[in-house]
Amino acid sequence: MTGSRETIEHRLTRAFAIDPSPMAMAALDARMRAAIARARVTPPPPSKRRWSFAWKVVAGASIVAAVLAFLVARGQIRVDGIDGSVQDMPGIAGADASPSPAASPSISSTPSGASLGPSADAARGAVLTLRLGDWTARCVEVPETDCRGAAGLFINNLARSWQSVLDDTGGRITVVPRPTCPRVPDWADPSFCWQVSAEVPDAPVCMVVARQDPPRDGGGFGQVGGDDLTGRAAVPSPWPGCVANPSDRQGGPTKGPVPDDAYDADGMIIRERLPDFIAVTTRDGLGIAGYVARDDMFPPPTKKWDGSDPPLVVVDVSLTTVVGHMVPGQWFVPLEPQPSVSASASVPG
Amino acid sequence: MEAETGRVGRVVVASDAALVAAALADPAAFDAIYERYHAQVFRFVLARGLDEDAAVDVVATTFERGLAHLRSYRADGGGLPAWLFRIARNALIDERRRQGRLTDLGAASAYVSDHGTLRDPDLQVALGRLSEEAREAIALRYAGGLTAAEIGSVLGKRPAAVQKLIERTLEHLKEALG
Repeated sequence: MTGSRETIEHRLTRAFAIDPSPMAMAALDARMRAAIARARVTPPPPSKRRWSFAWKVVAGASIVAAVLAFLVARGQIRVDGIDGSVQDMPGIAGADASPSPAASPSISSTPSGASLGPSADAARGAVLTLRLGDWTARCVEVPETDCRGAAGLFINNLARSWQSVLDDTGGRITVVPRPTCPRVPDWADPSFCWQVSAEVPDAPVCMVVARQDPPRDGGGFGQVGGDDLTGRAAVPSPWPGCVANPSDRQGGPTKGPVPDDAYDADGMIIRERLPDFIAVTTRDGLGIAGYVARDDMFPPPTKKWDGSDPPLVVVDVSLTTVVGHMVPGQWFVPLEPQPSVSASASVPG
Repeated sequence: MEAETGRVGRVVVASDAALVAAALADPAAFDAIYERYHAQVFRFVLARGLDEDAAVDVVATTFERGLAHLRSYRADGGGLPAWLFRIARNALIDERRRQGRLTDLGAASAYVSDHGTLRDPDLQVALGRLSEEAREAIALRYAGGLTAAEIGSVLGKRPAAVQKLIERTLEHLKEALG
């Protein structure tokens, strides 16, 4: 190796020894902490090694549920879907979604497909069956944790209809994803909802369920819509109903975060799997600032660049109101401080 | 076969394989992978011409995708650093596409320090005259700290070809910088 070669290599090493600023590192660390926290909320597919732990969890949950049922039966805790303590925030329930007293669920799950892996199975369109006390939840393309929370809330919120629905349906309920949420209250995450229903002779009993935002410890679900039978006191207006085909886009654009299955094994974006509007986080990665049109964020490869690097328009959950911009070098900038920026969102075709 | 742990002084250092296994069992352990590689990835991304804010996004995206797809990681593809840099490279492409920059942006703005001042303007000019492939290999080698074999895995080239490419590029730079 020559002396000048060593010099070049040394110069390259020095030139590339670029340390990020403390502010950049703080932003990066915050994003990673949030990502890891999210990953911990969504459990990985169970393996044989984890069965013993899982059984401990199931046993623990059964004991807690039994104690709760006992206390309720003695009148020390009141569970009433209409006039209960969640009246000011309709339909809220935790991820464990304490069901109605008689349910006292010892929760177990049985896969209809080859494996139990919640997220992976959901992506493949698997059907998962959960036992919740007297009830059986059929989860279609819904991860187990989400299904358990949504189904538990449904059973809990049936309140006075609980016994009749159980008798009429044999305790069978279905949980399906509803990628297009109706307008939801402030406490709910608008990016994704579920529809939970049970077939009674006259019509289905149905609820629209969303996740609480920010999530409570271990998750948290709340009712954001449903039919008359599942209506609650202090229902916000309008109270959105269920739809016949919840998985359909219902004519509107889809929105949400970049789904896990939108990357190939090397982390390359598969554009066709992106929602029409992509959720963008606040700088700390902990909240949703709004939504950016997919074609703005990931322009089609055929689109020619005109040399500009304009801010990306960020719209609110209605996808019609501009709330700010993603400005290069500044991240999300709310609309007010930058009134001069054009406010037009392009809607993907 | 890779040892589970190695010793550096008095500190026991887990192997990449051990870190991956731990992170598969508990996502919280992914933090150790992030701690081990984020500085290298950050330098590589900055060296490819992004400003610091965009680089934060690309590096964060890299590790988020890594965390989400850790189960698809296979050690025989050049190891953990090569896998992470492949993801980073693709995230970089996404970022450029997002910005509408279908052409190369590396040449003009590369090699800017964290405070926006040029560390080595002459070198920057010389690097700007290199081919995209050569610039990328140089960035992976001297900013990312990857070996020729790892760079080969990232770029889809044989290690020998990478070694030759880097040697040729260094000769070019030596001539350009007199």
